[in-house]
Amino acid sequence: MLADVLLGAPLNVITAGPDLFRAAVAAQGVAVTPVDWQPPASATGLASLWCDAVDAANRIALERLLAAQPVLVDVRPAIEVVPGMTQDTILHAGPPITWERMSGPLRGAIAGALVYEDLAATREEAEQRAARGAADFDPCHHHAAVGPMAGVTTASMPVFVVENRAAGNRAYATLNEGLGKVLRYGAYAPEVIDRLRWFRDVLGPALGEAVRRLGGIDLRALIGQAVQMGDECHNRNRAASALLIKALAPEIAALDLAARERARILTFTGGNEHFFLNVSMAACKAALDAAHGVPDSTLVTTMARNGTDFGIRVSGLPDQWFSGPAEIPQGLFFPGYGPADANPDIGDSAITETAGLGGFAMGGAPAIVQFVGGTAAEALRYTRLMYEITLAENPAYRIPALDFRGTPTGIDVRLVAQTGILPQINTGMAHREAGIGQIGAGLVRPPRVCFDRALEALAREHRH
Amino acid sequence: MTAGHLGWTIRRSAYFDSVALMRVAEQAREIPGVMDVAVVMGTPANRAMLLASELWPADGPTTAADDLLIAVLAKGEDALRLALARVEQLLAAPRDSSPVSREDVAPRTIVSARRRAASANLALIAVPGPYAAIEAHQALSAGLHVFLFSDGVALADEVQLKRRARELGLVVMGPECGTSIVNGVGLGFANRVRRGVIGVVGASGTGIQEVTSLVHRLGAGISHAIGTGGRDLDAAVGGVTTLKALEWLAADDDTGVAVIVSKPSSRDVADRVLAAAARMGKPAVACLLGYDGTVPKGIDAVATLEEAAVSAVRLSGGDGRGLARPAVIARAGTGGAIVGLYAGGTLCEEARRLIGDRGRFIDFGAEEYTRGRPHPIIDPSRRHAAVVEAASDARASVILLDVILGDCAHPDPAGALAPVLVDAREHARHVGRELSVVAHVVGTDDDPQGLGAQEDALRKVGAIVCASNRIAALTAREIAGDRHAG
Repeated sequence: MLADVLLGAPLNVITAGPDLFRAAVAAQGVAVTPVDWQPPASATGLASLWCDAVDAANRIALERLLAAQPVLVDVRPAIEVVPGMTQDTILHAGPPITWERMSGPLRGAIAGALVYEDLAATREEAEQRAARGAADFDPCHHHAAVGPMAGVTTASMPVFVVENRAAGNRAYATLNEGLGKVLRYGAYAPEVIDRLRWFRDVLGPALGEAVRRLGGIDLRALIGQAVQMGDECHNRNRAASALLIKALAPEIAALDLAARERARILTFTGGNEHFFLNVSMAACKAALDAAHGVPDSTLVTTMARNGTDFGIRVSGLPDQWFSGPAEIPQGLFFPGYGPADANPDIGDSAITETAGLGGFAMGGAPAIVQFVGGTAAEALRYTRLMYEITLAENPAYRIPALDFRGTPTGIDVRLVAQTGILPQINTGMAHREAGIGQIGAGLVRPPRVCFDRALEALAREHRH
Repeated sequence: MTAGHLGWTIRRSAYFDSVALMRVAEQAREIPGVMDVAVVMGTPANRAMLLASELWPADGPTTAADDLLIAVLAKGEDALRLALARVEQLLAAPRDSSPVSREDVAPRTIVSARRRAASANLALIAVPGPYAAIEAHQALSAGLHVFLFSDGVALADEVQLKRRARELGLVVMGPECGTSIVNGVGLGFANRVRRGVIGVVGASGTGIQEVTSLVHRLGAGISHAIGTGGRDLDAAVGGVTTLKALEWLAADDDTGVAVIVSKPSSRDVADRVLAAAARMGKPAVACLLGYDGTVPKGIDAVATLEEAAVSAVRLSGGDGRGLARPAVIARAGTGGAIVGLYAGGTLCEEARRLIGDRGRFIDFGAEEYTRGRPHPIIDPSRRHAAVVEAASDARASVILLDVILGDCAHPDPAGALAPVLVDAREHARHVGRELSVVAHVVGTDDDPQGLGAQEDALRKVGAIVCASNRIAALTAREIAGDRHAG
């Protein structure tokens, strides 16, 4: 091995410990980089996970994550494309959860979805149906899918189909409904249901046709461009949405549809600053699924919330969720609402942070940091801090303000346990009661216990 | 929303980012008496939202999407006016930028530091024992050789670390590695020594310090000195680092003579190390304390650190006449005890062997004394207290000390020790006893503290200063009245 040359090579030292050791090396004119060392936040089992098997597994998982080439290839009804989807399936955000433990917005979205699918006439009937177990609840994540906020996905809903051209796997996400009263925030008013039916009957088929005619849209390039235009592709999707509509508009204009409908499609999609969010999520999901299931890997491949629990999954333990209580985001509220109205953290959208976007790319989207009263410099600091818990920099997503450094990508459970630095997530906030919708946006972190539990399980697994 | 005073204004054609506006609204809400504040662009959706929240009059004017709407609901007129003014002020004010937060965050892990220093090749780890294995394994994952100063690392962890390092082509010096000198750079407790052709492999920090600084004193120099940690020659560890270091020195063009300093607990491992040394194709000196096996031909086996240095200098073609002993007057018949108070473990062990039953020794560098506190080379206070105690001990006639210089050591150990020695001797004189102090200073004139100045400071207070630990031990014996000394 080449590492074997220490004698005769110029010494270049990293120090971890009292400053006198750094000072002594520096006083001899040798390059030295001190670690700002603090005792690990969680040390149990940590030493055993810094080993060659884990390092090799992480290299493979990381390579798959960074090599991903997500392409938007179609829009289809969920029942046609989402694996394991049935007429009775209701997919939801976050880790598995029973009806009894679901929060208001998730229950509201489920009720709305049952009404939308004509499986119930009223909210009350829908809730009774859900409570007696007539619906099959399952996390989106178990079906190669992701959904923002409540993440509720049912059979007839159109979904974006994103193909990872590098690995061949596909991921799915519903269409974004815009702000205000929307199903994903637990609203189920008639206007919500009507919009979803328009999605099903008009918007979905139209987008699918446009995307197919285009031969797909390269999402890696589009996201890379949007990041340089001030998006982090989670809570800020202005540039990416505009770029997507710009690509789709000529094909939509050429569709065999009434002019009124084509105008409505362009007005709706063009007027929704978050239209790209769901596409971004599916792109991230397609990349992370490719990295999921590498034995021994400590790479985090999922962070998701169901409004009650925050759950993470790691590549090396693909069938397990490590969960803890979801926290209330810190941030800003729409007029008329305050922190007491906020539901605990909800949604699969933290898939973007898991893939190195969202809060991890905040340095390139300084407008977002204002949710917590921050400055542009603090936005950079958030991103810089995330490099401490990630294994790589994503060459596809570069931040101009950091001299085009790639975004911090690939959260390592070991580094989170060591530093106690928790992933920074940008998020919207739902009202805690069903039917109201979004009330603000802000920043949130996963509970540390998710990472502690993952660390314990990985260390236990590793001993066998 | 309960009844209150509603006030509003419109700014025509004024685009603001919605997040910035939410922030402004929140700050204005903090004014006492203010119930709610909305600062939004005048889109139909926003207007509808304000209407629903009773923050906009039903008969309010129509607005365009690029008009800014400011609405305040307050308990009184004063709060209302204040809030509207505050919103205007916040919209006008530039944000404070904090230059501090522009700075990069310091690396929090070795992995992160490694990413910033692409050509880093060694991690110097001196964290508390329970975390040392985590850091050392992490350093190996980052492709770094390891200098592991920490003590309190379990033997099983050491075995695992060293085996893993061997697989990766890396070396773990330590745990409990006090000293190395790599490419002329001292790591940990090291002395500034001339570069030369003598390569050292040592299980103990102070052993390496003594040998390398004596080589310097004898006019020769050091190519490299590789610390291995005290348990490297245990059967469980199998001499992984020692064998690798010998391999390195054998291949190293700068090294002409090799010195091995250790206290092997396994005869079998020692045999293997000696066999490897004999195969180096270079002259070698072995100082293996307590080893009773047969040393292979071509290896000069010596019993003390001083002899190791002298032999190596001689083998490298230098002046090997050795070091002078001070003339002392033996106080025959006093029969007092020698109290050896040491900062260096190997120096302590060597003195104990040379003095035998006549001495009582404390190694303040032993784990039981360093747990949770700095090493006595850095913080001599604990040993100072023991010097004072020894002065009250009626049976003690000689105090034997080591004083260790170097980059990480106390900035003026002799200066700190001198007043303690004065006190101790005065105390003894008070009760009618003569208390001698014999000391050896480990270091060179190139060390930050300066060997000459440190020795002078001790001589000035009446200490007998010796050129090596061996000489100091023999001198102490002589003073204590042992006619056979030396």
